Amino acid sequence: MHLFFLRARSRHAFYTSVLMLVVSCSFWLAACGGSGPASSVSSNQDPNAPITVWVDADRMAGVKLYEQAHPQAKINAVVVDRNQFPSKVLLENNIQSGWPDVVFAEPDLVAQVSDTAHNFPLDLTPYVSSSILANFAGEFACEFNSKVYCLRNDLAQNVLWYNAPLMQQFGYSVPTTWEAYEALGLRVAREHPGYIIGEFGDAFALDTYFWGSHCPVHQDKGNAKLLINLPDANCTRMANLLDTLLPTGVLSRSGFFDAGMTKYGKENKILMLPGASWMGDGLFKGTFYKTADHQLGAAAPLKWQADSRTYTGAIGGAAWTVSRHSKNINLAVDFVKWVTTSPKYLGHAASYPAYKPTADVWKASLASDPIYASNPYPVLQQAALELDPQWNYVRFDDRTVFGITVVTPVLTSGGTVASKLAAYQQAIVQLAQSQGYEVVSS
Amino acid sequence: MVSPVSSPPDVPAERSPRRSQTLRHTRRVRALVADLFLLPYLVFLLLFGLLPGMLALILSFSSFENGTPNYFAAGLHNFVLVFTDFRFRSALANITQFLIISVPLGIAGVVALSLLLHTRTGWFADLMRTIYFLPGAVAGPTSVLIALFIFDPQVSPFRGLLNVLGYQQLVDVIQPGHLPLLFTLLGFFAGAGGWIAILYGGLKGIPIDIIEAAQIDGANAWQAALYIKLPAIRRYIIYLFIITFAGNIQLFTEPQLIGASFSYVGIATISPTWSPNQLGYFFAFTDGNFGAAAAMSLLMVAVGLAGAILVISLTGFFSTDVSPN
Amino acid sequence: MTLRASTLRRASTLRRRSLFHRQQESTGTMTPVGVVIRFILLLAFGVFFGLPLLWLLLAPTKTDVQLIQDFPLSVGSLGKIGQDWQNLLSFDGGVIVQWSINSILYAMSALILSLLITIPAGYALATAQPHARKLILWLTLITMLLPISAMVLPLFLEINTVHLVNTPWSVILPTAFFPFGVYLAFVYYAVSLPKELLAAARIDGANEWQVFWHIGIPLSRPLLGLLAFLSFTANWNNYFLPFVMLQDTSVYNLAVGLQALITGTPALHPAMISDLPIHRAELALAGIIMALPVAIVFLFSQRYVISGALTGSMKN
Repeated sequence: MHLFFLRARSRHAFYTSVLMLVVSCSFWLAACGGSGPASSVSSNQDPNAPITVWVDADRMAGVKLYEQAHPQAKINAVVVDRNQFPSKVLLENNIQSGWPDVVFAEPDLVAQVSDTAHNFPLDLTPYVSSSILANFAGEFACEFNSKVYCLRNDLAQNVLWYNAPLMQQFGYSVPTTWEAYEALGLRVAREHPGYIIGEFGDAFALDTYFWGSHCPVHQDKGNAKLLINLPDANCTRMANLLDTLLPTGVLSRSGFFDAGMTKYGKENKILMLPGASWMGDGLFKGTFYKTADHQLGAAAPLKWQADSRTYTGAIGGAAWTVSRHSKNINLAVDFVKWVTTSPKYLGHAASYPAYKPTADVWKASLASDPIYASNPYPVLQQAALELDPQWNYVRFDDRTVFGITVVTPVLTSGGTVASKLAAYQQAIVQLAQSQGYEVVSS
Repeated sequence: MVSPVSSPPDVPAERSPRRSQTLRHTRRVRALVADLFLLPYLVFLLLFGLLPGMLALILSFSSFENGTPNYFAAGLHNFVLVFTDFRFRSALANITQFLIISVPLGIAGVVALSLLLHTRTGWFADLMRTIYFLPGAVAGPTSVLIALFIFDPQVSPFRGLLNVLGYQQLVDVIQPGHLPLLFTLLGFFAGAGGWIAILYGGLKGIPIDIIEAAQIDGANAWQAALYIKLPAIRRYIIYLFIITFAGNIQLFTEPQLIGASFSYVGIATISPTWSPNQLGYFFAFTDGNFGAAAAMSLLMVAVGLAGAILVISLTGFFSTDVSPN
Repeated sequence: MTLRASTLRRASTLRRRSLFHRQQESTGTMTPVGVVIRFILLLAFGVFFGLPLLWLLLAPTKTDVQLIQDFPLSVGSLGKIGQDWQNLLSFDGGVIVQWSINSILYAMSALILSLLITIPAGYALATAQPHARKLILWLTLITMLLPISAMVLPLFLEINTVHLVNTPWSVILPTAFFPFGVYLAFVYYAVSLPKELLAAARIDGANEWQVFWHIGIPLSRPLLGLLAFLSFTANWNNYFLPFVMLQDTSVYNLAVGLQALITGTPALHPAMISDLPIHRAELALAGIIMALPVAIVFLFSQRYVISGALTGSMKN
């Protein structure tokens, strides 16, 4: 080809050579492409094949522990930015190789890789007994169209955190219903202005308030059908509560991770805060909110009086998924089962284990933690079972859109939460439809 | 490497047919040698530029129903899909605003700073030029960390300024209306120093006697910059313009990285499909539709290229002393 | 060596003159007010570019709480830096050192390769009439404009076809293609290389290779400096291509490794509960370490860049 190019005496000859290149490229393309995705499970299983496990930096410890317990297992652990997990899978689908066998990821990422383009996760139903599955709390997040695409690692169920000495000093009792919470908020605004009982400063408000209100933001109706209905009374009741409390200043306009919030913490102004189970250890203790020892109480998630049960949301929590392309499914599944259920690993991890027997081992770490006014384990354990199972993990970013269409406009240019829900509805309906969901409104 | 050239030195200046034949021969040999000089580059251009580029073009006509290509099966469908996507208009509006702000500010800033630096050389100019460049050395997650703090009026080193402007919280600073300016500042922060180094190098290349002559003629610094230096580095500025315009149209990194990390802390003002190239990336890596992604990208390339063609043909950017035209 | 002494003398005269003028402080006459305004403007931009960097330099001395609650430019404890470094090293047996070595290997290989390719190409495009010169310039421009989101799948398929995925070559080869540099070299030679000098050398009987080697190369030290640091910076900070091509932790470069390490920690993602001692201070330190080689290459290359176009030394 080079010689031909060099011999080119005229421009015509040069252009001819370019044309030839184009043609040869097209042939090359035709040769390498065109292979469809493997739709079924990889059939050539090899019990001695090593498995590749994608983890984040923290989860390397889990792999190491498994290797200690199973010296013969061959595991290649790779540290990845798992937000890029769906992208990588798409690329690997295009060369039909290179997939990891096991990936640590949040259920929404698992949802993303289970569409037809990614077609990644293995249905674990045949490999994990129903008795084990039944022992996972929050496992609904891994179920897509009655297939089990992952096992939960940890849960981030929301509870109502409160400052026990402050509540006692002010003579308040801890609310159990959203109605009582609202009424107490108005009292705090009158009697102790400057104290906060929650936050509306970031997009996690979606999970704290609307998930916790059983609002049909995206409820699973089976067969890729989603119920998206923000005008529902379950949503407007929460919007109205927020609109009542926001002007009184009892809801922080700084988010959980904001410097403004740490200021509230430092000045001991956080009276109550609906938030995730890990926040006791992760935010209140030590660094962020600097809550003094023996002050932090955990109360059950709030319930609406009219509802027959409590619904709560979550901020975080991850899972392990297995590839349908794995050459050694037995080892991959064994690893995932071990890492999610063995008390040797999650029994001592930082966040709440989803596997109930392991959580019972894990509770020992709470008992010895001086931050709590009393052992919060019974509350966390109960809340883990109260996660709203109809909250579907979806293939689009519901939270960022909520921030853009609801939280940011309310914070920067005013207006009520209720008045923004229509815009949110419209935005996520479009997103859901573009992701191939059929959207229904009732 | 042995050069095939062996032309006789110092041919006597006689006007004979033989002489002109030799000249033509020399010219042809010289062109062949130039081809040889270009050859390694052409191989790389072909392998890592044209070939993938051509494949991208083909992908834009291919369908990706299962995340893998069905070549030429989509026809123009991907382009229709891009044009009719509900995010296309806002992405286009965003990038237009960004271009209107970032291109003039970026070019004026880089040129002005280069000229100012060059007016008086010495340790101060050297130090400043180095400081201007250093942000370009900071990459990826670290620049995100900087952005997280710089834009937050509660923790920013610029918090005095931000408070004077009336901003109390991060969300006040990064609200949607500010984004084109913020991305301009981020891009300038990271990229201006490299260009300043390039233009400064160009200014240093101006023969000193030309500038001296102007000074002797009584030109002040302003006049020297305007009438001597600017024309001398004209070609670098044209290049700067082409790259700034065509590059900024493809804005991707700033909104993508910053947007993602702000949404990690729940502060969501930047859509993951804020710019057209982000939308293209979204098509590719969320939907698995690399065809629509290629179509989206090629549309942006076409706009950038149109700008480049206009500038290049107006300025004769490609012409050299040795060009016959 | 067929270059005549007179030609060499001309080249070296050019060099000596500009060397002499290196001491020159001013290239423009300014009023005292102008001097002050210039000083203030340059300093203001110095603050714009410098203050965030200063903040970054101080960040490793502080804890997470200090970063949020103390004065932004306060200094924590210097001993904290050593602790941060230990914390970074503690991850996966100090794999960050391996990533650094990989980064150096990839960036330097691509740099050398790209210089070998780019310089002759730019020289030929600017000083001669290669075939299809304009077409090559246009194609170069077009490939420069193609965004990575369009190119990534094609490049990935291509590299996979030759079985180079997950090898250093998958990163080095595509980044050695440096169209931006070819344009820069083209502009440089078109603007800064006196054509009479080339003509004189040819009259002296030098062949094209000798003209390039004895005139073109020595007079392109500023260009070499520019290209070296631009290419190095681009390769060193390259994230997306290595991210796509590399599949094992052990072959990551720093950019990919750091991103993978950081996203699993609360450093950028505070909702990420982790037992790892990696926080913002560690991220800042890693960022500074990562920026150091680029800064060094910049400072080193600037000695070439500011030496002026005509200061290249002639060999003998």
